[in-house]
Parts: sequence; structure tokens; C-alpha cells
Amino acid sequence: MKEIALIGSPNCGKTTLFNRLTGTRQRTGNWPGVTVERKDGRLPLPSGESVRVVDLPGIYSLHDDIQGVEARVAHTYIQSHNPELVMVVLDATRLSRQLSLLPDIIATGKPVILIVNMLDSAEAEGIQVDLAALRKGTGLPVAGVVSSTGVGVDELKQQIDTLLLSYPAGRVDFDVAELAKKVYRNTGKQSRTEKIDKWLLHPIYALPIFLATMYLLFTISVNLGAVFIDFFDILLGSIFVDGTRWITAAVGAPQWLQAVMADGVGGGVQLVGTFIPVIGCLYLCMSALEDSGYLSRAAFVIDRLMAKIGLPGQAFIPLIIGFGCNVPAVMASRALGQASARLTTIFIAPFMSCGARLSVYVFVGTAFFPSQAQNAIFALYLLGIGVAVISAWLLRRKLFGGVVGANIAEMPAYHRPLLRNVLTQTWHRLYSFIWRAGKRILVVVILLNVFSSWGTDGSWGNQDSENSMLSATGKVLTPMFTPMGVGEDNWPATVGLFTGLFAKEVVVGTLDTLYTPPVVSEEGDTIAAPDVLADAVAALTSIWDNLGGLAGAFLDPLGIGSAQEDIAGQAPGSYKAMQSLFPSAWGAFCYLVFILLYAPCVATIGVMQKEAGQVWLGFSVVWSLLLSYWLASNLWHLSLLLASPIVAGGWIVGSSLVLYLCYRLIMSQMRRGIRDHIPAINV
Amino acid sequence: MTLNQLFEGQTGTISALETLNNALVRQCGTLGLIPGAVVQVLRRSRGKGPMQIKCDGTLYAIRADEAAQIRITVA
Repeated sequence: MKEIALIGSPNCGKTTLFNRLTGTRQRTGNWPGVTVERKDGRLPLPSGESVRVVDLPGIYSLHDDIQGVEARVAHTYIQSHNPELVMVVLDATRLSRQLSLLPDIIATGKPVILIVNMLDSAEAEGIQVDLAALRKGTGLPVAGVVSSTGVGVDELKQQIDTLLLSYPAGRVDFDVAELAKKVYRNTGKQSRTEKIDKWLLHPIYALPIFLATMYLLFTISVNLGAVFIDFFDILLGSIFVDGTRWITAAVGAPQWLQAVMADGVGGGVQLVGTFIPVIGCLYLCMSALEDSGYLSRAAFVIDRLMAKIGLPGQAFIPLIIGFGCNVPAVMASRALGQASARLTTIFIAPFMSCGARLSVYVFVGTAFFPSQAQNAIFALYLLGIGVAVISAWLLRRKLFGGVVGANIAEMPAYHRPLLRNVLTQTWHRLYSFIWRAGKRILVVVILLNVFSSWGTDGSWGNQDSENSMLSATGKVLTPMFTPMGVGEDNWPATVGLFTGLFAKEVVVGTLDTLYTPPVVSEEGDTIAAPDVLADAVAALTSIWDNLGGLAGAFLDPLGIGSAQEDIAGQAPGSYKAMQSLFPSAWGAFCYLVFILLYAPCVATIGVMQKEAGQVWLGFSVVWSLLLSYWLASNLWHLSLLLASPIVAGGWIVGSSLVLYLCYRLIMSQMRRGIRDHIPAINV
Repeated sequence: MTLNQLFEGQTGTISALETLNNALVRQCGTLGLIPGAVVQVLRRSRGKGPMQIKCDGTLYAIRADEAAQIRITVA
């Protein structure tokens, strides 16, 4: 199939045109070796022939090393892939500036067609664009389109057909500035965007508008998404976990294979599935905001605050998303241009206490300090933010100190978000999560599940019991955690830390099961087929039930109140055991501090590896483990300071020294790592 | 005078980039903030906050400390 390329500067409407031309016949992926998205799609032409359209990244120039990766990707593609035709998309409202990209592209010697986009906006803003003069001045074929409405697209397709048959000679040498004067006349009228900016960037109203937008983004995406979590959980669990178990049992597979297939693979699919609704909703909102042009204004409003921790204003968005779920937070940091800012954001995003961790706080908090649960939870959120700020500041000062960036960002014109663009974008991102991050998540889930299912006596199916390998490991490792206030016999808490790696809310299930005295059940050997139909009904009902709770969510976006009600409703019998095994309520709080920080869940780890690479992920995990252990154990020893000052003081001083040494070691390793690996990731 | 000293609504012409920051020079170059370009300050924020400027029909956000490195002549 013949290939034609779409190229243009950022925000010129290139992607809208691409969506218009290719519709749903698109594929996404990454350009080889880089985290830059590659999109291509099939375009059926009027002649009946189909061509492949490749959407190149938005660039200002082909030889610009500021944007580095994107420009290189575009340049390499045009040089090495020999597209039959290069379509240069130009935004009519800013035509004079946009033309500066042209000489670079013409210099590659490829056949070029100029597509002047957004003619409607130009007209609305009183800008006159002379397409005939552009054709005459450059000697190149020119098409005018409005890709948001589709005006001129059919003519464009016909033109492409003709140009692929024979490309006319007659290129004219031109001077960009001269040409711009001939083609483009601006009336100097205040544009609609400037009028809207008057309000959205108003010295007084800008901040409230920003906060309200963020609140809505967060509430809508997280709470609306949460409505559908049970649906995916029940349905996928029924099909992939119970169904697989039934099938593997029916064909007489050995128990270990049943465990691997049902709990490992099936459980992994189920876990990835439960992330779909929240991530999908979040991306839906994000894509709409992005398409509207408000995101760059949000960055503008919060820029001053972010500058204090050495990050650009744009980094705020991933961090706020992190309070809902760390996975899309890490993925959203891709929008940051500078590698150092992107890596820093990925590094600190997991410290934002996500919704899943909240359920653990509530579970443990309600057992130990019911009247103070709200305050304790709030303190944990603040602690997470504090750790993130300090980490970002350290990275900035010690690691990226030599990196001077430039923070000039284009602020695109406002548009009404196009449904087609928003849906396409959301789907691409969701797809990327499901397939690319999902694979990594699956591997970890299989490993952890095998360990929790495999008993010390060699039997299988020991999940959430004392006999599994995981529980045995937990018992062995518990002494490691006594310095942070986990009682000596409190091995379920240790096991919870491991299962918490699946997803933080799993800690609740683990603790609840392991603390509850075992009920000996006489389970037969026969494994019944799952009633998928009944489960599907239950799944659908869950949506309805959860929708009912949605109204309250707007007043309590973090869901603290409703999570407490849930727990109170259950009145778990596990509380007694838990209360007796933790030495004190303060010990439980220290455990929660550790839960907050110790390591991101496997889903987050998966996307971190994908977005930042192995090395950076390693640093991040080691850093969180050390820091969380230090913090939790020191908080615990602070409470011992009065009772046994020498031991506690010794621990505090000793552990702080160890932390400092580790910090120096990590930093020096990272500095080397940055030099060796960051280019390797970005090239 | 430098770009960050213009007041809101004022227009000037870039005369030079006075900076050792190569990244800034290159970014200004690709965005068209080059000597001879006419820029208008649309919005300033207090202290070190960012400014919104307009150049050649396009809006940009630029931090005040970076704007301080762009020399401007006012007609």
C-alpha cells in the first residue's frame, strides 16, 4: 500500500484531519524505541485505491533539537520511508508563522501538498487567507479545508488521487516572510480566544475556575468510573477466573495448571479489567479538556506553584489525576516535553495517595481510631504530597541541576471539543493501557498468585490462608517490619504488603481474611461451571446500585464517608484479631504510612516501566521502599522515645544515617544512570 | 528593556536574546521569537509567575525569568 504522511506544527488540527480522513481505520503504536505515539490509518480514495496515512508528531521545524525526539522521528520517517506524498497542514489563523516549517520539508525533495486548515476560524477572526497567492508563490498544490466540519475534505481526497498519479513540476523558490505578507492579512481584531482568556486567565477568577475544573475532572472521572468497576470485576471474574477454573478442571488439568490459568492469567485479566472504567473515564475527560485548549491555561494558572519544585505547570495535571489512580497519572506525564520534567513527574506521581489506598486507611483506621479516622486519613494524604514535593525538589537540585530547560509553551486557540477526536483519543489511550501495560501487569499477577496459591505442603488453592507460600514468606519476613510497629505475630500484615502489590485495595481483603479465624469448609472436589448469565445480571445490577451512590460523590469526591459506611456495614469480625496483633493504634498508623509509600501497585509499575524504562523504575521503587521504611519505623520509634530512649534514639539516628548513605549511593548511581540510560530511552 | 518589563497590552520588537541558556535560544528560534519579531504582552502575573504573550498570531506562556533574557525595543 502506498504511504502518504501528514505533517504540521502542534495544534494545527492535523489530528482532526487525520481522524476525518481515516475514520475508524486507525492503528496506534510507538515509533521504534521512543515513547512517541505513532498513528497510521487507511484512507480509501475516490479512485478505489487505498493509501496508508501516517500521522507524524507535531513539530515546529524538522531540525530542532528542543523538541528532539518528535523532530527526529518526523525527519527520519520522511528520509527513510519515502512517502509518496507529504501533506503539510497549516493553521489558517496563524499562517504566517506556520509557513516557516515549509522550507525544511521542501528541502527533503519529497512531493508536497499544502493543506490550509481552519478556514472557518480564520474567517470568524477576520483573517484573510489568499490560497491562490499561496499556490502561485510556492508552485505547490494547495487545498483548503475545515477538518472539524469536513468542508473541502472530499476535494482534498480527489486531489490526492490526482497527485499520486502524476505530481506536477513547477516549484518556485520563495522567501517565507515575503510569501506570508502576500497570503495572510490579519485585521488585528481581538480573537475569540483572547476574549475567553480574559475570563479564564483573569487575575482573580482564574484560580477558582481552575480549582472548579480540576474538581469536576476528578469527581466525574473517578466517581463515574468507579460505578462500572464492579461490573467489570464480576463479569470478568466469572468468565476468566471461574470459567477458566471450570474448563481446566473439566479437561483434567493438574491443580498447579488450574491455579496458574485461573488465578494467574484469569485473575490478571480481571485486574486489568477493573482499571478500564476509571482510566477510560479519566481519559474521556482529559481528552475533552485537551481538545478544548483549556489544559494549557490550567498549566498557566498553576505554573508559579509548580516552578517552586522545579516542574513546569503542565506537570500538575498528572499529579492531580494521581489522587484517583496512579496508572493514568504516569501515562499522562507523557504530555510533558522535557525529559527531566517527565521523569520527575513519573517519579513522584505514585506518592499521590490513590483511591485504592483509601480503602486500606479506612479499614485499619476504623478499627483503631474510629473517631480520628478522618484526620488520620487527611494526614496521610498530606504526607504523600510532602514526600512528593521533597523528592521532586531533591531530584531537581541533585540530579537535574545541570539541565536548564526552557518553559515557553504555546497556548492553542480554544475549540469546541470534537466528539470524534475525544473518543478516538480515549480509545487509543485505553487500548495502549490494556495491551501494553496489561501484559506487564499480567506477568506480575501470575507470579504473585502462584505464590499465594501454592501451599507449603505442595498443594494448590491456598489463597488467603495460613498455608500458602506467601503466608510462610510473610511469617519469615515479619521481624523486618516489627521496627515500624507491626507486632511480632502479626504476619497477616506482612502478607498484606505483598498482596497489596496487586492493587492496594487487595490489602483489605487479605487482612480481613487472614485475621478472621478460619472456618473449615468441606469443599467438594467438583468445580461447578460459573453461572455467567447470573453473574452478568449481578454485574449490571451493580452499575445501577453504584449509580445511586453517585450523587453523594460530588460532596465527598475522595469517598471517605462512603468508604467508612461500607466498612461499618460489614462490621468485620477480623477487627478483634487485628487489634490484638498490632501493638497499638500508633503502630497501625505507622503501618498505614508504609502502605502509602512503600511501592506502587503492579499496574503502576507496569506503566512506569513502559513510560520511563527499567532503570528509572528501579530507582523509583528502591527510593520509595527505603523512604517509607525509614519514615514508618521512625514514627514508631518516636512513640517509644519516652519508654526506652536509648533504643529508640539509637534506631532513629542509626536509620537516618543509613538512609542518608543510601540516598548518596542512589543519587550517584542515578547520575550515572541518567547519563547512560536516559538517552537510550528517549532516542 | 526586557520583555518582562513591558506592561500589559504593550507591544515591542525583539532585539536580542541575552542568555547563555542554549535551550531557550533554540526554543525561541523554533517558535519564531527571534530578533525582529513583534511581541505583545497580553497578561502578566504577580512576581515570578508566567506571562502570556502574542507573537505572529500565536499565544505563548513564558516565565518571567525567561522573559527577562529577551531584550526588547519599544517603538
